[in-house]
Amino acid sequence: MGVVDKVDLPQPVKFILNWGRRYSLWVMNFGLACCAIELIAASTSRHDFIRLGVIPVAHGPRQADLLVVAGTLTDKMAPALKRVYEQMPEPKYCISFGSCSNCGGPFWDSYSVTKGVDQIVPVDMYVPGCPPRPEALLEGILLLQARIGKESLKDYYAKRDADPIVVGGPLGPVDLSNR
Amino acid sequence: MKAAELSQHLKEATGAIERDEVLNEQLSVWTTSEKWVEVATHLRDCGKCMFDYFTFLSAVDFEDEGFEIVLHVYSIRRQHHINVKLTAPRENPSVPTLSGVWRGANWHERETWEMFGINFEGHPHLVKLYLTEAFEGNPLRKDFLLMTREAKEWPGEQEPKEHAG
Amino acid sequence: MAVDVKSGILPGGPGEGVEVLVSGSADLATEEMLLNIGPQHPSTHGVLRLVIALDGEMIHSAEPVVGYMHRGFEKMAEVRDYRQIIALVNRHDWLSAFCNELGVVLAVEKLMGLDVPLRAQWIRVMMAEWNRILNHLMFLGSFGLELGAMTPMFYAFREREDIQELMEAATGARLHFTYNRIGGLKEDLPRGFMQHSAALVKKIRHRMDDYAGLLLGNEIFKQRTVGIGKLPGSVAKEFGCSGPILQASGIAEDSRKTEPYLTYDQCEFEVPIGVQGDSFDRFNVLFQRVHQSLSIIEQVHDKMPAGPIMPGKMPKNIKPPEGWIYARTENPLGECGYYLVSKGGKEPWRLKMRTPSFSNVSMLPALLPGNLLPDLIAILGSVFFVVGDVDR
Repeated sequence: MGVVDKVDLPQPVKFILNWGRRYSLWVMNFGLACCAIELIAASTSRHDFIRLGVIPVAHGPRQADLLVVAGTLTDKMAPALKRVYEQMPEPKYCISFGSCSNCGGPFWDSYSVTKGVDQIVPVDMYVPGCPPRPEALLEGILLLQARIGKESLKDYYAKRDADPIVVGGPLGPVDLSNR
Repeated sequence: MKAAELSQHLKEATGAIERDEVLNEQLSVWTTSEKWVEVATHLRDCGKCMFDYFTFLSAVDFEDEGFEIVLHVYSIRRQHHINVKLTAPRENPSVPTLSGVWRGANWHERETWEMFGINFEGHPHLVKLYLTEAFEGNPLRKDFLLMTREAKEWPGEQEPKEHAG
Repeated sequence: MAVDVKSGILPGGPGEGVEVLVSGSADLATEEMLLNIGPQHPSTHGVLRLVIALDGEMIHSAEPVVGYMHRGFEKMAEVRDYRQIIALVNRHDWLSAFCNELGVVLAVEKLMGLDVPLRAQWIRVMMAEWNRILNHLMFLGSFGLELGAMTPMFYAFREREDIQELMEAATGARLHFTYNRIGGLKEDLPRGFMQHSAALVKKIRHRMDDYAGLLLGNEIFKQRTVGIGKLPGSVAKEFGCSGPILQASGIAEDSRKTEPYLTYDQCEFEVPIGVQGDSFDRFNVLFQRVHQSLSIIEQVHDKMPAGPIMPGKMPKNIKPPEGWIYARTENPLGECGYYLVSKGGKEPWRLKMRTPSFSNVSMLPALLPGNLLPDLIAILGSVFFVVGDVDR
């Protein structure tokens, strides 16, 4: 990424850069279960998160910077989630929508449910509810946008390098420190 | 046909019904594993029965008494239901398949095999339907415990005033 | 088919002098390709995976791989008591939560021989029909989205928001209502609900013309769905398909008519059926069902009596007598049945959920072969299912 992730940027530049990033979060809809219905309802005319810049027409994970996991994650589906998350380019954020993806939710005692998406991918914002109201998602997005506004990309990449998400698969771990 | 009439007809026509029970106007008949396919074929083909709609096939784990396989079919023309049941022992339970009689039985039998461990002889494609390959055990058996509940007991229901603060 | 290719090659170009002979009906030797669709894909179906063997664009075989939403409902129902399973079962078919709860509550009430007060039955009919409209609106919108029409999706959600606001006034929730209780309902309707409901029926009936105009008369829609994915009635019955799919194949099986439960025998409505069983018929049946539901709701408005909604004080620990029962209801997606085995305890011994989408999806390997890949999208959108219902 050149100089942006290695240097502490001056405040005006950082402000503009973060302003651009936080108001154009393209979202990868990872709608799994009932919360997906409320996610779609949040994107349609009455609640409308498109006016916040969060547009749900990312054609694939490669064009998205926000992943919203809505619904129950089962053990069978978990590898697919990890793969989609790894395909997203940095800097990326993840919102866990609904109590099933926060912690397993009403299926806390099931034998096939992953109790919380944060076991698989790092989560930036948890939106509780079963299902959460679309207004809760709007608040979650606003808080995330506020956080991105204060973020420093140098710290973001330093944290990632310290605790990298290993891109596994047949080729093995990939060295991400050399950017 | 009414439940009692249907039960009588089946006893006469197939000679394979061991016992029957009518509960809340619903009919259950019990048969054996050897006559399972014969009874099913009669239910489908006989002009008085005409059970052409496949509702479901599953099992119930009655611990010491073994497994009870339940087949439920419905007739759209005659508008009657029937439960056909069969008892299988706990060790190596094995039942002939009904996917030759109604094709819809295919997935139901796969699910019952996966959840209970009951083998269906002659099934064309008995592979796991719901669970991952690495999963061990048959979840719906009574001896399969939900480990989250074993690890931490659910505190039970509490009245609002019992909460502190 | 023999093609004269020589005439298409430009003179003076690199192809000049080359002779290509194409003969017979197998133009090129091709191999079968395995295409994997899902489990994560941009349509609204949810996590269904299809493994398709293709020859060019012709489907040879299709195998749905399910289980990506398997949460273990039946096992969890064995450790929850009869009040908790109401909150559990409204999550398998998440678009018709009230109807699911209704099925389970009817099963327990029948087993116990409880008499549900008349007012509670009428309110249940009304809420079930509103929920049916909610469910059908979702599919009316998403079927258009599959084929590339974005507007019906937004219209559908506009209507859904209005209905969800209405149901939230009575039940307190937008999606998972938990309004039924064993014996009746949680609480009575709020003041002003009936007027609000009557006004909404008129509004939605008027707005259904939008869908008819956008989709039913649309030339592109018709070309993509008429004659595509014909499902014969005998195949549908064999697999246990129910609801709009069975009705579109010409079989008028609707348990509200054949085995009326609650007070459906006092309501007048028709069961719309299709002619060919193709995708267009399935969509049309869905559309007509919404109109029928609106008319049932108006009849409920006229006939609703006053009275209690619970038969006295129900005990905290509900223990039905020992026995078994199968209770089925006409869910929006089809026949949803609950086979309940009780051993007299406060938890069910076995709750088998017979879900409509499971049978509908199990029919896909018999329906899809012989169709083209773009038609697969039209067919999949028209076989209405919810993945939570398939996997439980």
